[in-house]
Amino acid sequence: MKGLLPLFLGIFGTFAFSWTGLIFIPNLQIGHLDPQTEEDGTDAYPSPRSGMAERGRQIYAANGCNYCHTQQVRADYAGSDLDRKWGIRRSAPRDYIFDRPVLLGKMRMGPDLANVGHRVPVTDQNAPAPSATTSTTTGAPVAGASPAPAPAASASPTVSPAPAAQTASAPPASAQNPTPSPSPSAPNEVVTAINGVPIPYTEAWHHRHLYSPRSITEDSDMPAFRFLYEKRQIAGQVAADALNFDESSTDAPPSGWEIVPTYEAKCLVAYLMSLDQSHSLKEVKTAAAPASPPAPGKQVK
Amino acid sequence: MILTNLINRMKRYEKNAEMIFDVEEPIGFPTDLVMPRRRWFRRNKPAPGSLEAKVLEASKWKR
Amino acid sequence: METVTTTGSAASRLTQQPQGGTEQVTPGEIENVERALIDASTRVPVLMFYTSAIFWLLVGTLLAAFASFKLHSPDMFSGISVLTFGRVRAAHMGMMVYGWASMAGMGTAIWLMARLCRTTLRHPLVLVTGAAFWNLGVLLGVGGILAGQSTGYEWFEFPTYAGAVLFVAYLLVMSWAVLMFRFRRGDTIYITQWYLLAAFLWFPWLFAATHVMLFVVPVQGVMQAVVNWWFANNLMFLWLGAIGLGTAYYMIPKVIGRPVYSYNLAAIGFWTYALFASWTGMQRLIDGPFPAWMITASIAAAILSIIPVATVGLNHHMTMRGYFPLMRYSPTLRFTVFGAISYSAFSIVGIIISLRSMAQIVHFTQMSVAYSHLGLYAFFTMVMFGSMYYIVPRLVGREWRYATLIKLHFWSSAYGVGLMVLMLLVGGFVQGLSMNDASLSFTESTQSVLPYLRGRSVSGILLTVSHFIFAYHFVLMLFGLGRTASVPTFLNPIEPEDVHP
Repeated sequence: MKGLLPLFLGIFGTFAFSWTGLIFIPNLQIGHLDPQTEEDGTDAYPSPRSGMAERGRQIYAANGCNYCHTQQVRADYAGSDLDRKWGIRRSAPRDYIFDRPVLLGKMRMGPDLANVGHRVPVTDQNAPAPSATTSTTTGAPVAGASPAPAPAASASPTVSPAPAAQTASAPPASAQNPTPSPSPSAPNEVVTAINGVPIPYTEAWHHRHLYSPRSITEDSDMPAFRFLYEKRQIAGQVAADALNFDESSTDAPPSGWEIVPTYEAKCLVAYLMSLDQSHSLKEVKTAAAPASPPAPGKQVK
Repeated sequence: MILTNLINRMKRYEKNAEMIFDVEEPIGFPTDLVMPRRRWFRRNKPAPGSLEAKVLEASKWKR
Repeated sequence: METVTTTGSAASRLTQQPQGGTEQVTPGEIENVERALIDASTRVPVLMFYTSAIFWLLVGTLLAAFASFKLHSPDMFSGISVLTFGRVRAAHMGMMVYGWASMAGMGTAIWLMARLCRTTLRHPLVLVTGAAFWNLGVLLGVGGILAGQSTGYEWFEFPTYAGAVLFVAYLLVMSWAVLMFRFRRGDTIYITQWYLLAAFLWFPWLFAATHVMLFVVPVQGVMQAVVNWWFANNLMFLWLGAIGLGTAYYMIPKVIGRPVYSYNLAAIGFWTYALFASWTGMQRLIDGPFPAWMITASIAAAILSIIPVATVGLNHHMTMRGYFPLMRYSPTLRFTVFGAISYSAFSIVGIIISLRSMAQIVHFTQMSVAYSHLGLYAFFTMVMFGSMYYIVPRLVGREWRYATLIKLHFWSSAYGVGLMVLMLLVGGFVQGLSMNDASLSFTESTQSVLPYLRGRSVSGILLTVSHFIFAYHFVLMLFGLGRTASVPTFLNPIEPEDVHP
């Protein structure tokens, strides 16, 4: 029996020590945070999500989105998260107080999503070649973002209006066409900018991207989540939420058919749209003014 | 005194390492040397008197 | 093999030994028979654990290979929800951690416990029940993940009902393993028993505490991530790691017939391991939304854990000194030594990637996958393979049939995991560099790592081959198709046809 008691005590002691230090004390420090409010109790942040968004979180976790996407913005001294406009400030514990499960992630095979409900699509220099903007949907929608797509974008007004409306590309501010709003025939248009001012990711963008990631970003590494969508025959009129495709796209359903998001897909998109850490927090320094458009594109090597 | 005590204790403690050996499988008695000699390289036997040869000799597996 | 002399059975050999009396039963013979009896008493449960473990290993390997291909060919099977990358990856992790690693570890631990306590295993059916329930838990958990019920917590993705089944199964196994202590003979508790006892006691506490803090009385917000990584890290170190280290401390000295170089050093290694390894984990959350002191504490613990790593490494190295050529003759030794060396590599990589300057680059990259595979495969799995090569013949009373298969298994595993880790380490670094360069588009960082991911898929093929070879060999043993042995230890000679002319 000699030596057994110290062994037991040691085994339990080290474990208790670790639990106290890494779980118990931090829990006292950051485990009971309240939403931040103004002095008069208004402007509470964060607030709980809607039921649909909460359901979307479960779908996000169930399909392992968190293995490739993080939901945390690092400070300016670590990494280039802020430079990449993934957020305007670093994330703080208070941002997550209503999250369950919390899906911080540990891998970035895809971009960070902490602000995906708020931020604007970042120009992707690897998007389909500029000439493609005239005929196919492109992932290079932000005006004046980079030298490479710019000529093509300025050339886009020369294209006939109907195909142009089909594209995700928006004319730059200097363009003559001031009304890039969705055309009536395409209610679910993927629009990323209005009057050259980029607008945040839309629901249509997310649905399109979930259904066919490589139709938006050619180099995307994301698996398509087609099982979240339903392909059905058009009954009478095209459904309002049907996904919109170019006719040339290989993703487009055969004529007479449409692709509509299931309830799960809608929940997932609702969750993605709810991801927003743009509200300032007192404990975190905000780097840039909120809602500023992304800095004009950087040089492509 | 305290130091020599400590050293003695440590020396006694070292004996614990021998508890996995017994009369039938004593120290110096390798177990599990079950694979034939490597065929492709080093065809020659280990030099007589080398540690490898001694251990192989001690093994129940006669080679 | 140039010269083979067929010696007789143990009994005839015993009579040749000077200390063996010609007529009377010698003490050595008693011990030999006793050891055989102890080994035999563990036969059913340990073989059940091993068989299940190898089954999960095969399925988990196939899923891993699938997930690996999916990562660079994302359009495969995108219409099938069960086969989406996120689910397959989680199912793979669950199978490997709970199905393969834990079951193999428990099998080895039970056998080692019985041997080191010098007591036969009583009521093995309890353990068999435990193994059956554990399998059920893994099945439910993996099914739940594939059906879309993952909890979203890394290494803890199993739905709560599966976790509950696992826990019940675990209590059955643990109580039996710890109960063996009551019936043990002899005063000394060998270092392996320390590690095993600690692992058996740490796991339920860890598992239950995490379950309570995540599901029963859930902690708020980012604290869930803290609990999650505390769990994942300690599962690696305090459960699997402790079993692996304990096993190595038995197998290496036993195979070469030489006591551990320094038992005092081993004791120091154990206590510093318990102290420091349990404090690491938060460095996986580096630069995240957490108080900086926690991260710093874990980084410090990771750096301090160089002490147990150095003591363990030094100890094994000094024990093995001069005996390294023996790795050619013993499957156990080659796997175990490979694992022990990988443990040092694993810890050193762990320290390097947790340094702030390095983490800036490699955090959120494939480097963390490399790190996990170094620990779970190159270290733990290889040690488990080694112990299986030692234990299974003693349970079935047969020898492994083909030396060639053992070699093929070893080399394809070693090259497979080496290639995988190399690819992911380099790929992760490249990925991190391009990710941190904001002038490059984000997809450039994922594109830059794709060649390495393809290389990793090649290593996946190697590992798949190696696992199927091993499983085939193991099944031969199970069906009594190994080489005949007259006594339940390796006492019979090599059969002539295996011998190279």
